[in-house]
Amino acid sequence: MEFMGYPRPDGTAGARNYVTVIPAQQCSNELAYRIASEVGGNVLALPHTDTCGNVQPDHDAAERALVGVGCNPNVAGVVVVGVGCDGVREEQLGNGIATSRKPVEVVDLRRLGSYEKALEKGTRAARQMSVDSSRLQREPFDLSYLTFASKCTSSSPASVIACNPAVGSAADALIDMGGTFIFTETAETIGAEHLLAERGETEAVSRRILEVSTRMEDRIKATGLNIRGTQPTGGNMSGGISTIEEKSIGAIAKSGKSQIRGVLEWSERPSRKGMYFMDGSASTPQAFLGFAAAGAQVIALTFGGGGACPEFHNYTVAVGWIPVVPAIKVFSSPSDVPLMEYFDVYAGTIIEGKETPAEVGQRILEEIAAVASGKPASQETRKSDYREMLLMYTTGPLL
Amino acid sequence: MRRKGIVLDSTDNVVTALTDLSAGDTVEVEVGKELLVVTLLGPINFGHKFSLYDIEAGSRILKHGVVIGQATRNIMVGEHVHVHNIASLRARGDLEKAGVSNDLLVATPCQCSH
Repeated sequence: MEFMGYPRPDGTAGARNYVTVIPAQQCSNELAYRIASEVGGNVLALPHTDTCGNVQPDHDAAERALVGVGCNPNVAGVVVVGVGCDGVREEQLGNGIATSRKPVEVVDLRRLGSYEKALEKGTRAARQMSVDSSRLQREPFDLSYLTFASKCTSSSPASVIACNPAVGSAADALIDMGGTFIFTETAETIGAEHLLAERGETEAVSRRILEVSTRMEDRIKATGLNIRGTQPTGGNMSGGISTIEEKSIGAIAKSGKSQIRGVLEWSERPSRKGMYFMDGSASTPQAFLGFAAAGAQVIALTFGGGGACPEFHNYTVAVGWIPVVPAIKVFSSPSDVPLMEYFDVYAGTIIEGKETPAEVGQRILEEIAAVASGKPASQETRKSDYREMLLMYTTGPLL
Repeated sequence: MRRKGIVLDSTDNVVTALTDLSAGDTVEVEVGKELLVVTLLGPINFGHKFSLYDIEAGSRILKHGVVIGQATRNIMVGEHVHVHNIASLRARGDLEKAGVSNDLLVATPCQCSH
């Protein structure tokens, strides 16, 4: 199986061809947005939530995320904008992204002296990159060049029967072809972490899986809260999930059976191909940002749904949107078939007894290859100006 | 043909409903190589669980071969199994804070409409 991707100077292959305007600090968000609006076309601004009140470890994670997104194969060139003050340094951000050998321009408002000069420089650079990127042509690549990532939403018992095992099957197939698969949502390993640890490629990986899961559980216990209501959510419970352990078994099914090569911190890039677990929350925008930073070219968002309580079911454009990485939506419930136009793959045939997870997994892999080659994901066909900001994962206090 | 319920592992003691079911429905399920029949004591919505056997309070609930919680009350075969009669054993910050062991777990009232 192949996909048609944009060849990048560092040897990776892009599913999309964007020029991104990345603000170093939250204060530069508006300037980034202005620059992208002036040029239009394939130029996207990436406003985000890292702010001066964050502590250094969270700035470091944010920088890692922004460098990672800049280096993502779906990005042809980057304009970094900054106001030259605290938090993530625009020069450092630019240098990090420049290791990918793609065009990078750093616009430092403080050095240039005014907003207007920064706007002018940034717009000129973005415009040139946009024109240059339009000359790039897709070429064939085998699936070993693909990094695919997945998280679930609207989890219900249908997730464990349908969408997640199907994605797990697709993940295993991709790993067999030499590709990369990443999954996350650390709280949803609680209760099933021993099953993941058994799949660690080495002792060290197995230990690390348990450490990261325990770290999250300890953090939860330190709050003195019973987290039922957050994990699982009221929506999950209406659908039939009773405990976090039950949710976790369903959640990890999306990672199939392959050996796990390593554990990544949120937004960390894997050093090799293979299957990786990434530490992080169950927030869709946050998880997706982590995936984008890790180099994922296509993401799958799986939906359980079904049942008597559809109010937890949100499938619109903004859900699962991250500017540089398309997300395909896989849904599980026969009762949701009337909503099929919002999704990309229907996995409910498993519940209907018509297909096996392996058969649906094959369809998912084919859809991923098609979307990687340029086919728009359902979310990419919807006209909406709303875009989520990049939501940074933080663990420190906000000062 | 659409099955009514599924048992995911032969060691499980709960069944997951694959369609909305009514009180009095008889559900045939494959448990390993055996075929068991359960009569439902009440309605069970798609995706919800019902008990495969009588379960004593304090016993572990097994689904997919994994412990997913503990019974906080006695549960009869064919009874709805959910937040009103089982509780999680993990990440219990509330128990940590109260210095209480897992054996004194508290269930919450089921908020499902049925």
